[in-house]
Amino acid sequence: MTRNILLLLSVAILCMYFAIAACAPFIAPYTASEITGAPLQPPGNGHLFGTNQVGQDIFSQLVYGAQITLVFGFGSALLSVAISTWAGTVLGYYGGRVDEVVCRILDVMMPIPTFPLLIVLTAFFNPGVIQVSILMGVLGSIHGIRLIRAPALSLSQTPFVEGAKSIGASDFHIISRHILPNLMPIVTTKFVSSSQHYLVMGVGLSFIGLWDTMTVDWGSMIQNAYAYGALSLGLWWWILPPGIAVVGISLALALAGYSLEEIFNPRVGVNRI
Amino acid sequence: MIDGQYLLRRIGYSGAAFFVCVTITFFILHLMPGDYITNYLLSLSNTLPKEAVEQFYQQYGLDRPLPEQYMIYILNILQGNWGYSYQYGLPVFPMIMEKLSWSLVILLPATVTGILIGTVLGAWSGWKSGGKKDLALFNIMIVFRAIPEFWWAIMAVWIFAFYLQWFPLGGFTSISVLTSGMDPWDVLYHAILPIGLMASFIAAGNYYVMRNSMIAVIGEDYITTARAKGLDERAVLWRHALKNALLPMATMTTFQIAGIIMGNVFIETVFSWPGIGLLTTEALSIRDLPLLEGIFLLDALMTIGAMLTADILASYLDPRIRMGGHD
Amino acid sequence: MSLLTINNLSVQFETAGATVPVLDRIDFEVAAGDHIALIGESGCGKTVLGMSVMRLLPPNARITGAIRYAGSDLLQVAEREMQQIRGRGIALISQNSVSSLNPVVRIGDQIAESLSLHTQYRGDDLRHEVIRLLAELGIEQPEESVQKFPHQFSGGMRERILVAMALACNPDIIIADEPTTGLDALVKVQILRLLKKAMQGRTLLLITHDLGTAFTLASRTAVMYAGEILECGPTSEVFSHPRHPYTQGLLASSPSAGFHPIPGLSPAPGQVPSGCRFCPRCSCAMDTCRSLHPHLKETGRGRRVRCFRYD
Repeated sequence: MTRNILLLLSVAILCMYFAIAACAPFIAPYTASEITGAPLQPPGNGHLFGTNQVGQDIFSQLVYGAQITLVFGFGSALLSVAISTWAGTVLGYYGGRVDEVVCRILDVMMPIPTFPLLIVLTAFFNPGVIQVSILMGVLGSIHGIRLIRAPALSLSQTPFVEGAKSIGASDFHIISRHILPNLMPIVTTKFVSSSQHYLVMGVGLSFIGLWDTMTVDWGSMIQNAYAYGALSLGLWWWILPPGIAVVGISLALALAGYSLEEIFNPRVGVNRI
Repeated sequence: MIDGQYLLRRIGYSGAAFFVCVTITFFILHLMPGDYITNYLLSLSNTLPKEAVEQFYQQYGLDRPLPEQYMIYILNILQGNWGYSYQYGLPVFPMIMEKLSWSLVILLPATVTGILIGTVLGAWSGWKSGGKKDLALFNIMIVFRAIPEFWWAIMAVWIFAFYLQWFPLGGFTSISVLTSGMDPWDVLYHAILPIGLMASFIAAGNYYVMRNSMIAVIGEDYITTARAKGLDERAVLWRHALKNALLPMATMTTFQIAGIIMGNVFIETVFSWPGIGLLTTEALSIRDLPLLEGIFLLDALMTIGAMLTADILASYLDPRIRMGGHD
Repeated sequence: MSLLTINNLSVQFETAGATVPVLDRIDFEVAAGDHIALIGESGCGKTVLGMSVMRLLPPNARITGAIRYAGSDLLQVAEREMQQIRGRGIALISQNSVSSLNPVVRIGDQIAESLSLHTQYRGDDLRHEVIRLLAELGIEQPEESVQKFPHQFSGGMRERILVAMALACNPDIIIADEPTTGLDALVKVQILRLLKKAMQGRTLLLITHDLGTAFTLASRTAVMYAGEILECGPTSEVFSHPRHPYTQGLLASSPSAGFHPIPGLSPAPGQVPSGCRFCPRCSCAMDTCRSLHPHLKETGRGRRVRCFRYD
């Protein structure tokens, strides 16, 4: 019961974030890069969270920053889960030599650390938000394919799939009607947990300077405030809003992920007879 | 006793994984606009005699065909010749080795305590799963893990260093180093907060894996068998549940190491600790590609090595792998 | 002289939002030297009955009634005392030979564990006793086998190891839960033969859905359905002259009798009909069967039946 309430609550929070990102031009009084007044203004006087060291409106940056953060987090998760589901299902269903070869390749790729590789690749390509999301999604799917392949394989060997095959159902029909629907719980849970993971990783990468200085998102806002000593100067309104924004969405996604896991896979554990 | 074929295969995979990494870095270097040597030399001086450039070309084999260059590159990597940093003009390998030793000051104690605490808490929580205490701890861990590492670090600096002033704001040593030399106690004083944070991150990650694994194990039939013999709960836990629950931990090492590498970057950046993590941030901000590639190769070596070690350890614990007949 | 007496035993499982009754007021006696089989379809509660005697049900089980053994009520004794009884007083041969042995512990150690817990064997004596047990149960090369891990044995051998573990401390009662599941026909015959020999002079509570196993091993049989006992009596009598329509149906459904399955499905726990629990599937159900719940009645020659036709 409480799990369902938590899930609803976290979905409501996520919807709010999306609404803010989508309606950014109507909510934010200024653009993210526009210099709107004196630097380092405290909250008030038309600046809800004051201004930063060059006089940009922190509230407007926060609202526009949501767009970049959400695109990165959800875009890369969507791509990664799409690739994993497609490849995992096909490999698990058809099996054979291709499956064997791909699994060996995945075995080899498994220990390669994604995070520093991503840093090297972005330092080389100097890409924008969309491109980094694509890179992240592709690299992240290495782990996901394995995760989807195992249940897809066991589903392919269940009596209802064997039965469907024996009456001559097409592969497409079997995969779309029998296998994919049964994979949905694991795919959904993976999508939610990946979104949280990639979103936090994206903000972190931006915090250590992944984007150019023109791209404003929550990570670069925190980095900027931290680097200019917002903490030691006591300018909490500069650093706290982007931080709380990240913590809020990350918590909502984590709660949604764990609630989904409990709902799809109730692990009372001790209830076996 | 360990199945030789299994061991060889694991070592083969590890070698192949590093080979893939080296191939990636080679192609990135070669896809760069201009070439590595020109870029490197130009960073030193704008007016170089043509002969000097040609000499460099020959020395680094850049006048040879690509496959040959590839072979030379691999040999160089294996010999510890990992190229030169744009920014510092220094060879990458000794540079990151020096930084690594600083990182290890934080990582070694943090990893040991983190894994220990996380495993113990996770095993306890999983053993008591469903109980009030377990659920309380589990929820705390979910919230802890959901908050980004760099944000924890910033909050820790704010609370413990800025407001309470228990610890320094960052760095690895006090200004007194200029007059009285480096004092190990002073370094430790600077390291405590980052070590504590890093250990908490590692513990939280371990906790979740261990709890899940323990919950899976306590549903197993052999646990019922053990209880049916008349063993008390403690003996069931120590002799039958724990060893089985530890097995999947090994396969999770990759994720663990990946998490540690990432956490390390954020911690060192926030605390200005002069290790690999801070070096990563600095190199990224000036797009120092050879340095970033060196760091990537080092991280890859550590991850691959840790995974191999974990595999061997797991196969030692699990007779089904040790004696073969198991993939 | 009864060794184990079960009085009015009911078990319910508390799950999210609902309480599911699994056993309903079971009365049951095991005399010393008895070989009793509990038979029934899966879900009828026979395993839960066995596990309540061991007191190894999951924590969400609510047990009422009494299980009397050696002068005390097993449902009341302290956990410490219960640990003394498990393995020594009452031992269990668990259901699944693949998953019931710990994969990372040498089988010698798994057997020695209960011996060192309940007996005086230590050191070399302990080792020799384990080897003797393995040899007794027909494990080849017992000296080498103690060093091996479960995955190095075949299904039949693992079953023998489980039996050895149960017999180790010479228990008063042995509860065998589906001892032949997952074994192929030939191995199954060997294990049954072995069990029959090993159980001579011992007390056995056999839990099975397999009529052949029950017929081979048990001197008395109780037929369970939807959490209660429908019929019990000497095995030969019950098998040759089944009285309850369910027992008759069960026997007719066995492959050797021509495989005529009973129509319908047994009710899910918590959804049992208010009258006779079997009546929706019964071919000779009367009006009374639908409205009233029959009692277990003596019908002579040590037999009891829960059916209105024998009123």
